[in-house]
Amino acid sequence: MSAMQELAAQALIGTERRAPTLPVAEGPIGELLAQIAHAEGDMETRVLRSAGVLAVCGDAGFMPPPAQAPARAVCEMETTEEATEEATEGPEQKTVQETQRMPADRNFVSLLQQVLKDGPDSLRLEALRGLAATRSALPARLLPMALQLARQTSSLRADLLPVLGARGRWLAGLNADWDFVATGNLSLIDQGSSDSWEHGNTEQRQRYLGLLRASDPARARTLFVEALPELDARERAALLQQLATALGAEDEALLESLLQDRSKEVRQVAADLLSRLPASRYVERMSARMADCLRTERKLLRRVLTIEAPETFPADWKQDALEEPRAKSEPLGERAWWLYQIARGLPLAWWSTQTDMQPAELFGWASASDWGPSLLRAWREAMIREAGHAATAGVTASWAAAQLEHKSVQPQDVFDLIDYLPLRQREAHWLRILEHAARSVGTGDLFARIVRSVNDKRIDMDPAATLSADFCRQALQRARTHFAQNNSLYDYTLRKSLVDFVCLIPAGAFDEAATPWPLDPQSQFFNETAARVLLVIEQRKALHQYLHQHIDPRKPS
Amino acid sequence: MQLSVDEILQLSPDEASAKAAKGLVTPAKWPTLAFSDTAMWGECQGSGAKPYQVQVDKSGPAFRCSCPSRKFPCKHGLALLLLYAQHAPKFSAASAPEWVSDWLASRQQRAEKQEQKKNEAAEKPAAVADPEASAKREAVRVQRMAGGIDELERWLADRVRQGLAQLPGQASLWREIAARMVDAQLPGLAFRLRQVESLVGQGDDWPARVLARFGQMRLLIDAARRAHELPAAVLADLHTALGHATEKDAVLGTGEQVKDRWFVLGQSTDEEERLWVRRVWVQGHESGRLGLLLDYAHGTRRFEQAFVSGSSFAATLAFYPGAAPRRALLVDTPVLVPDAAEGAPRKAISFTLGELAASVSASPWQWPQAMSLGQVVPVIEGGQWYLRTEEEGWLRLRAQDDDAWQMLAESGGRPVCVFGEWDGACLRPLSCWTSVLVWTEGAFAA
Repeated sequence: MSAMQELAAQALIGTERRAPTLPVAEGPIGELLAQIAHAEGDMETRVLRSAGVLAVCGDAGFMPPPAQAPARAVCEMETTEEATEEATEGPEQKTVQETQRMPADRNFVSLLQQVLKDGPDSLRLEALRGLAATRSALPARLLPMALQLARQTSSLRADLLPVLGARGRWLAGLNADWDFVATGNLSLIDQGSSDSWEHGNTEQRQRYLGLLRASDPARARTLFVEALPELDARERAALLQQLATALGAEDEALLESLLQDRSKEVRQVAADLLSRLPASRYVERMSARMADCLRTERKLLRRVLTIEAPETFPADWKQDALEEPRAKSEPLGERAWWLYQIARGLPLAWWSTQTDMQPAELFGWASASDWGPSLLRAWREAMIREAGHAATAGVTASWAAAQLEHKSVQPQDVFDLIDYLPLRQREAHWLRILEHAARSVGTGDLFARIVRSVNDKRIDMDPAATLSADFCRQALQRARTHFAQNNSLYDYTLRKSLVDFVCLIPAGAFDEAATPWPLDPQSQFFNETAARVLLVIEQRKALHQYLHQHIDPRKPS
Repeated sequence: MQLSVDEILQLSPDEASAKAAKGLVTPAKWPTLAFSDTAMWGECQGSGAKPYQVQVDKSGPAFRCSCPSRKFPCKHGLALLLLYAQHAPKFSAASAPEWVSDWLASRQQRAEKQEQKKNEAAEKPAAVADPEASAKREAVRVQRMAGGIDELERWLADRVRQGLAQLPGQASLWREIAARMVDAQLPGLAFRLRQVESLVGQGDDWPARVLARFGQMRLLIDAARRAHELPAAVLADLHTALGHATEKDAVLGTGEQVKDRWFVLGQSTDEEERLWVRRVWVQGHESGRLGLLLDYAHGTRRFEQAFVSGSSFAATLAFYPGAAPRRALLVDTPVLVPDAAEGAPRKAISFTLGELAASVSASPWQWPQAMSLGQVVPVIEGGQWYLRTEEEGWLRLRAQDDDAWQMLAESGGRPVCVFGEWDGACLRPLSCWTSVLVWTEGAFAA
């Protein structure tokens, strides 16, 4: 304990309780302290004066205490852009090109800061992806903000990791909040080692199986089969669902066996998966049953195809996961229910080959029939099932297009159906809705839906597809007319969705978006939105400009 | 000079103004936008009928706006600067209209008048208004101060007699003695008492720290009693510590004047009950002198002169008297000196500590002390921030988490130069350099 601390310990008690011992020391300080101790006056004054001397001398002679922890590793040196140019002549050329460059242009860094700080998320993604494409890393001063952002918004994490650079990874390692960086970098299978299969909970096992299925489907299936006896019904269903990835003919045997599972849920999942294998025996059986229901009749010199729901429910249908009784809340009648179950197990393409009718005709035919509702519902489910797969996307698209033309479509289904179409066709439908149905669907909601549709890469098979400049021009024109109307004041969604939309428009439509928006000078309502839209356009323009100046020299120009 | 968007936003008094300014960056809202050599101006359509007239003097920058906002600079001024930075083509070169040229002229006049006044004050000796009345006032003042000193002496002795263990949880005790000090015209002592109050009960070694502060106050009492024996410089320091700074005019007139190119090491801004205090630390390129420019503002965070850390300006400073003179006043208007990249402090820790020792021994009541460190590494350990010196020592840091992470990111674990304020136990970092200035306290970066 230092002299001051000793004195303080005595002062804690109080001089009236116990007379303290005054401090002594060597050298000039000791002489001064001795002088104080022997001076006149009460004890309190002497204590205070001694404390004062110790305090001032302590302050003057301050030495930093020794470090309590060892020095940490330093992060790797990265190159800034000027350094790269100088080093391309040297023998270290190879290593320099491996490391990422940090942009040094002040204005560019300032722009990145604004984008990361204010968003919206689409713009942030664009900036991060642009940086990754030019093999650049985020400048040091933006790293804490970017890491905080990625911590809160997990959808940004995948795009942040490539642009962190050595410095970013080093920094993230120092803060427990940012450990998603460390786990994100591990190869996906390492991350879920077989530990998580052996000892993990259901969620971890699901994730592991899903990841394994993507790289080694056979092994995933084997693991599942081994674990089958110990799993309960819910787990069986959940894990079985993971086999949807990379589904193939080799899985058929397993799925057939699971059709006899005790649990209804498992049977449903197995049936659903089998429906995705057009060559399977399951589908054959279903086709046979459906073919039984189709008849060709002669009607006024034409041969017309009719469909009739099954009259009875044979016992062997239960083997194929078909249910005889309906749920209480089921709106379909008994026979209709049976028909629907058979129909939903069939791939959409079957209908065209079997009946020789195009989707458009099929819709007309179904609406005319008594059993229409069953068919429509079944086809809807088949569309959802087949939409995400490259092999069947084309078929789904043509069916969706056909249904959209047909009167039978429900208003709430319109957007979902539009999502199944390729991007150009979607644009045509959206424009139509913008023109005519602006009253039933709010403009703001519509823009929000467009943004969601374009951003959802799962739907669109072509990830590089972007909105066409024409469409954007027309859509923005509609937005402008909408602004000018009075009822747009209450369209709160528009304020956010318009800004998001502007993040998606291609460079060709920038000028259209940048022309001034009609603002009512008396009202404040859209000022912020208009300012924001203009700002986002400016930022995107600047971003494109900067990024194009720094195309990776290794890529062929 | 052209400011970047960040620098403009740094001028904003708070986050809400920055946000509001961004919302106004729409050329559609500005019927008029123009610039000339020295200034830019515009008219902004607000919610009223007549648009607000906004103008910015480029040297400075200085703002003026006809809107009723009490913030400074208001969102219109900021928005005008942002527009100039981001949409420069929208401005037309024009000659200044009356309302702009009038303001610029009045600014010029005011600057000239101030210069004149300073020169006059230097030449004329201070005239005494009414010798008898002022002598009486002086006598009353001296009596009050003596009474206050006596009271503090008794109070301190009581604390030591009863024991420091009695201190926690006695807020009224501190309030009373601080109020008495203010009544006795000893605001410096009231300030110190409030500081000590915040130390009570904090951390394991609080008794040692509190006793140390009490000891220093005791020494102040002793010095005040012997005021007539003290040399002039020490007497000046004593008066500052008690809360009586020398009059500005006297300093401008008779204080030591140093003309130099001054490098802005760092600045700190604090607020206590609607009073804003700003400390700007500068170092002379040629003279090597360290200076402290102290400014106060009531209510709003508005200071006459803005400084940019890491920049240099040419000016004459007049120093307040003292044993180790720090506090200074600007004698003339500072003129920015471009490309003064050199000047970042690069000192070894032993040199820094030596400077600290010299400063404390000359002027033990100076608070806070300045500290320049040449080769330190920011470190976080157990949630607490430190600077690791080149001799493997640790200096505790007092900084906001967001700020500190920023500094750590810039350093990358490598040594950096740091300038900050030292309060005896912790360093409050204000600026940080690698090869350039990379960080200042509280920049709206995060």
